[in-house]
Amino acid sequence: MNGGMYRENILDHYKRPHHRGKMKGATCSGRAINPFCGDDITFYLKVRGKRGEETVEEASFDGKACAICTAAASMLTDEVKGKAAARARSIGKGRVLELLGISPGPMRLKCALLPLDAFRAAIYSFLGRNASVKDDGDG
Amino acid sequence: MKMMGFDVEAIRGDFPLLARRGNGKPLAYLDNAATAQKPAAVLDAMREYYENSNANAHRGGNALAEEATEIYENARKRVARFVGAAPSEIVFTRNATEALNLAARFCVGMGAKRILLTEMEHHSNIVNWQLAAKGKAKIKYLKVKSAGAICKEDVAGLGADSVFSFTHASNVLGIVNDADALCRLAKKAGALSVVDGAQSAPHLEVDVHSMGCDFFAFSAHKMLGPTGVGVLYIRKGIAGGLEPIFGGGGAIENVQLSGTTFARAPQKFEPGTQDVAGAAGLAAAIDYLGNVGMGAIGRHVAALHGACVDGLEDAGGVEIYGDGAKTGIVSFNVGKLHAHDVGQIASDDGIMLRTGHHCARPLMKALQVPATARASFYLYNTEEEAGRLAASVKRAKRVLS
Repeated sequence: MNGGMYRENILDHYKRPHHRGKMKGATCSGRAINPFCGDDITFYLKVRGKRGEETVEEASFDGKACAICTAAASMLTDEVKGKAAARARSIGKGRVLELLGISPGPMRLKCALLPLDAFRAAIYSFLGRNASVKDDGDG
Repeated sequence: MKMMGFDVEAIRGDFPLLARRGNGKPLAYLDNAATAQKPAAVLDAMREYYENSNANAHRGGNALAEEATEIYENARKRVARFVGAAPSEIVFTRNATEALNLAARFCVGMGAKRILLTEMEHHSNIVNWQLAAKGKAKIKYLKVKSAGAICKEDVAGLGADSVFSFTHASNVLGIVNDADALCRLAKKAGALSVVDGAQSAPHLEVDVHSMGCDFFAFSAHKMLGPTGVGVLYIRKGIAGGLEPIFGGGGAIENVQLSGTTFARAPQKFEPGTQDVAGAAGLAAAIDYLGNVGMGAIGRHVAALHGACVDGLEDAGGVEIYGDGAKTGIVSFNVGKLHAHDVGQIASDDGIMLRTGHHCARPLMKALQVPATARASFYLYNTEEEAGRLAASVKRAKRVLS
């Protein structure tokens, strides 16, 4: 069952989260809320580069969340930073659980995956915006 | 722990599930406000019904159907006695939520234009009214003051065109509202009253007639009975004039292609084949509670509540919500720790809590907390379990800070 959910790596990220705080000059952001517990995570990204070859130069998160959610957010900022936007956007549930090193039950799974939702909202808002700019240009 | 005539170890022995472990530790089930465990007597009653008496109650006159009908109607009589009602005033539903939904539809159907609710309602007593009111009635909410019970002085503006619906006992705070006084107030104003008894029926001696409510809703599963069975009490003077919400077999007097005349209450509110086994299980649960004694259960739960609060206060840095909680509920937060983390560590220690908003988001907003951890005690819990919770909270503080 859920015996050792608070593993050392999770506690480390929870107690000393990486890249926590609102980002100045972010190119995009995304927010995800879990109504069941009030967890509320916003992801900030700085995505730059030639169209089609953008890179996630910086990533940060802010918000209120439980340890699992906070740790997942912190790990996710490490994971996406420096990655090509196209690659970063394809990060999924499996990778997040791999980073956490746990397999939570259905209720806690929502906590673990909330940061991924926030990240996706951010990166898709960027890619979507870029796409629409491109559409405008073509029009 | 032993009290006069109250042998908690013997009681625990009646509940098969309590023998299992939780995360490898002895199970401490402290989530009774969500649902209670079932004694063997309840499970036996349901199995016994299916093994020996299963037939379609209120359908056909064969000997077996008569037996099933008798079991079903006897269950209704026991439920009626349990809350001080007449059997004809007891309608079986799926759960308290369905009962409250029916009550809301009935009240709006009777012409209620103004609905008064409170901030401390469970979502089941908010959403039902929002759905029923659409375009027909307006809803107002009484503010909750400092996590205390609703004062009758705060209730204003009730009239002949209104309905007042409130929870008898809060599922988050465990505080008990003075239902007798509040219903009297409604009655005086000519308003209807609907009481959500989901949290009170398992703990308090309820007498709907002396309370004077028009509707009273509760669930079997929170009082040792099975899931899937709830009860709606409808005061006799009202039931006759109500049109059923659902129609179908068993609820009718005569059906013609041009229209239908309905059976008398309560049958007219129970179309379709009913959960006879569930009703039998609820009756067995009521018998079980009666044998232990509601008064004795109340005293035992109050003692556990006190032990839990003492233990948590001793752990330090714990905020407890709700003044004068009476139904064995202790809602709390530990410093800046998220309730989920406190609940997870407790779960790792074999202690089952509820964490989150407890289906009462407006109340959480009023308390200005996103979530709380909630321990809720019942007749089979022990002081040792309350002590284990305090130790687990201490461990959570150690691990997470």
